[in-house]
Amino acid sequence: MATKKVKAIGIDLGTSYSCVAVWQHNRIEVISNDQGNCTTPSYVAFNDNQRLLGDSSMSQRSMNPQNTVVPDNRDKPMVTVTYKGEEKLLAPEEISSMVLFKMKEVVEAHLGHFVKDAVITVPAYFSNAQRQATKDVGKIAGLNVLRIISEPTAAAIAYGLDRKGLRVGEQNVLVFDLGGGTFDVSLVTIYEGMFKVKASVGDTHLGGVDFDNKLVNHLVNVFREKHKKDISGNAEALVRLRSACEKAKRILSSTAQTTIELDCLYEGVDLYATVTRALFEELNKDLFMKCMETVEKCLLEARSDKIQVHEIVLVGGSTRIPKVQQLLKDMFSLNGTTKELCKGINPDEAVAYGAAVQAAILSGEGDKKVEELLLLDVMPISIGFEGAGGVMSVLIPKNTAIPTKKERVCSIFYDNQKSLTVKVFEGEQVKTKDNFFLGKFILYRFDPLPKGVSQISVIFDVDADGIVEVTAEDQAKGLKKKITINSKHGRLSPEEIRRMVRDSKRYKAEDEVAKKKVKAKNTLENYAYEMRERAKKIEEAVEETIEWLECNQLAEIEEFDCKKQELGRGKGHFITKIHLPRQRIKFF
Amino acid sequence: MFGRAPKKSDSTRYYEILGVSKNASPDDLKKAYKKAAIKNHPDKGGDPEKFKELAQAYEVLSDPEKREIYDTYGEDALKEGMGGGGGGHDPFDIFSSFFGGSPFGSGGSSRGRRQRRGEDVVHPLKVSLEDLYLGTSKKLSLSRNVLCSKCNGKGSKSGASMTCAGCQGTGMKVSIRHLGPSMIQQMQHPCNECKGTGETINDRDRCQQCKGEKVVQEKKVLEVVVEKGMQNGQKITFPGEADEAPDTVTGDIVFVLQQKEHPKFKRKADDLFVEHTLSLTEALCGFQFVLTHLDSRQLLIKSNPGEVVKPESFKAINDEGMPNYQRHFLKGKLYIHFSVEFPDTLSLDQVKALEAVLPSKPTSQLSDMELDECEETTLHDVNMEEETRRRQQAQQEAYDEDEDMHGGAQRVQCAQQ
Repeated sequence: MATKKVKAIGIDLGTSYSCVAVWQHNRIEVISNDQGNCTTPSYVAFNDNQRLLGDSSMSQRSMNPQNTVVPDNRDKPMVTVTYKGEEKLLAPEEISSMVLFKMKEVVEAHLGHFVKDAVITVPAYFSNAQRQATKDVGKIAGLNVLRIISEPTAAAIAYGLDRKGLRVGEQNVLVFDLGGGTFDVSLVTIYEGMFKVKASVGDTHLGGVDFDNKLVNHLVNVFREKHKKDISGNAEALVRLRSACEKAKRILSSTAQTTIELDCLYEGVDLYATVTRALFEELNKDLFMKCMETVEKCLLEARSDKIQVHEIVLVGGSTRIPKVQQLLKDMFSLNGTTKELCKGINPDEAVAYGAAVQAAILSGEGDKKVEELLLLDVMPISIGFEGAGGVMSVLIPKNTAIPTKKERVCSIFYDNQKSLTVKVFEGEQVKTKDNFFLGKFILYRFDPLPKGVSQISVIFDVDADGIVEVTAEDQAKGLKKKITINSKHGRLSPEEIRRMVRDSKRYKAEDEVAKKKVKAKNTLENYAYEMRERAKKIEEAVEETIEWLECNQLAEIEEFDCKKQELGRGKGHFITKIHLPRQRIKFF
Repeated sequence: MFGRAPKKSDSTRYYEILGVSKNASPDDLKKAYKKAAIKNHPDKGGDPEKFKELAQAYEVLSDPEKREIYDTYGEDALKEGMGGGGGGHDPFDIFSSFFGGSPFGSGGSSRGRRQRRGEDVVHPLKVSLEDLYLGTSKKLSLSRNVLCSKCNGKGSKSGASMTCAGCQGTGMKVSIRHLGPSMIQQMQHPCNECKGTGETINDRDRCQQCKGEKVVQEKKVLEVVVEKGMQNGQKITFPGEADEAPDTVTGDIVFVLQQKEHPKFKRKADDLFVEHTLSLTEALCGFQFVLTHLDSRQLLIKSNPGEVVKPESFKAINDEGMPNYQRHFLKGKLYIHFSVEFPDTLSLDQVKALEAVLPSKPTSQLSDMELDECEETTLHDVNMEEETRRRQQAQQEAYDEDEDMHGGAQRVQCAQQ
């Protein structure tokens, strides 16, 4: 039976690690990379010879800290690296596209054919501009992005599909997503195959990296006090230390104590430290409490009580920290009964799993289970327009399912007003000046009328991809004006995208050249070793033959001929046979 | 005047979009929406415009307030901002003009007939300290009046009502009572025919279900969630769960927590206090005991080596108090109040042994001559309660003497007059 081609893939594009999954063999499969890992580091490294992606970029990080970068979705800084001896300025989108490119390569290597279509996940709090920017990133990487979906929705899909048979009626799932760099808490309602985010609260500056940093800072202080040396300014030492702390953190999730040993960390001095789980928990106590406060905030926003939460789904590697799990359990415990957390879903894979389900839906693949699922994506942030006094008039509230269309009938403010400006804003504040301006247009040529009499319709129309179109219409006169919100702010221009696509292709070509070079080098090296081994064997055979000659000067012609043939064939068993009878003759 | 009512427009389209009848239940709406949404969502090859209409229809009809406005005034009323849709409450969202400027004055609007608010129902709810420590939920069965679903609270099949003949629609009757030969009293009381409403319903038109009462009894089970760390006197409110009545905004059911006395623990805000008595030996030489907490955990309470516990002193244990209500992953302190139990007497041998190990007594160097000048005294037991009582009695007698003198003076003065 020929394997059917996969049409679309699901990618969890994470801050620290990324993951890819596909619908294959009537189920979702998470794809391992060339190192056999289901998650791939979201790192990119540059050196004098080549660009490195994935695990190889991670493994050389401590030796090349300046030129090993990770996408920063928090503050979006431009990054300078040295590549092939020259400096290059990279945008975060460019770095993200390299990570996506790597994930594309991983899945293509596994499937044996090219893929184009993808569903990519983003944090729930991402605005429309950020979602469109992520689409741009996919384009740069050579992908056709079918849909951008929220990480908690994807995680809830993973849960919902696995447990579909158990579900009766409406279920509320709390998705606790604590990754490497960001933290998200969402409440997702699942009702007979329909998924909807009721609330989502996040902290874009909280994650496993922050837990590591607490330990790093602690050990920097310990080192200073003990050895009177400050390593905080040394990039190489810090990278080694951070890497060791991250490793220690993982170990402490399953043991109570571990040691960190770094030889020659700084100015010839070793670092040796014992780290206990209790110490790690104490150092991060404030951050853990912050996580719990965010959970409270999410429930408040959803107007739900803890008792209404049926399941708690853990997403992200940092949810393996025992203290985090304990605090979550305690928070939802009632009457002395302990609420168990869902651990059937691998927290590293849940998001990619859900993205792959959505990819299967959109590309028409999947079985009956998948066909029955419907993902209701929602507006991540409220949008509206500016009303009298600079008040934000919300027309589409946060968490409204999309596509959606809302209309509001309004009136002019002044007698005989002849024109009006429609200003569109995004945000949750009461005053527009505290929200984010998206765009505006002006409607002209009203008939002169007293204030409050004219009827102006304002329509907000959001499509399935979150593109917002705003129309204002004078109902009496049929006057109409509209604007499509392009979310240009902070986004790459089309020219920049085209340049980055070209750069991406050039990087790919250069990667292939570097790969071929490495391959050729390896081939030659293998051939040389093989030749050396072969030469060694020939030399041994020659030595044996010469030795035989010295002992068998009076052998017959036939024996000499056989020996010559044997040497030519590289065999040596005949020597023993000949040698033994000759010895017997001598004795006689 | 901007107070005009919104014009009436179509109020059936949303029902048609969802494919349900006008009296569909919330469950019917949900099922219809789910089925239609899966069919019409763009991800399933459906028409985006149709999906948008579905979502709008479901959003309105699934919200009781919006549904009522839609049924009464139609779709346009919602577009003008009634029902609080989209977070904007001003029905005239007036744009800032091209020329800027600030607003002065704004259009008013009536949200419909002003309604009376029904009374809240307040229940005390006794909870133990364990309940407040662990969090709990209690199921309570309550009986209340709800509007009759058959006649929608009208009391009659046709929705009509008549002015009560007995009281002429005022709801009150005046009766005259004779209190005596020449005295009368006028009294007002609710009319017994219409029970004070001023309206009666024709017998043949009376609703079969509520018998013209407009409301029926409903038994309902409320689950009251007591959060960890809630306080004595704290209220848990169930909005709109009290008795329903026509033209009335339903009141709330309010449960007021009453914290029961605990035999061992006392609570002050988020801190807990517990009493413990130590023997003299324990106070001086160290102690160790087990305290069972409110969640049945057993805490080992142990003194630090060499530490002496003084009578009436306190020790605190962090994070073993009550959970904080707002942030109940944070806990207060557990205070232990120590009493020390001294022996009544010691044998002479015990005294000698103690003097040997305890710090020496402060020495007072009195010479024999000084001692001779002092009078020797004997200590004896005292019952402080009796002493206090005796002292008060003495004061009372002194007061009585003053009174006699005062009285005497008054008498002399009167004699002079």
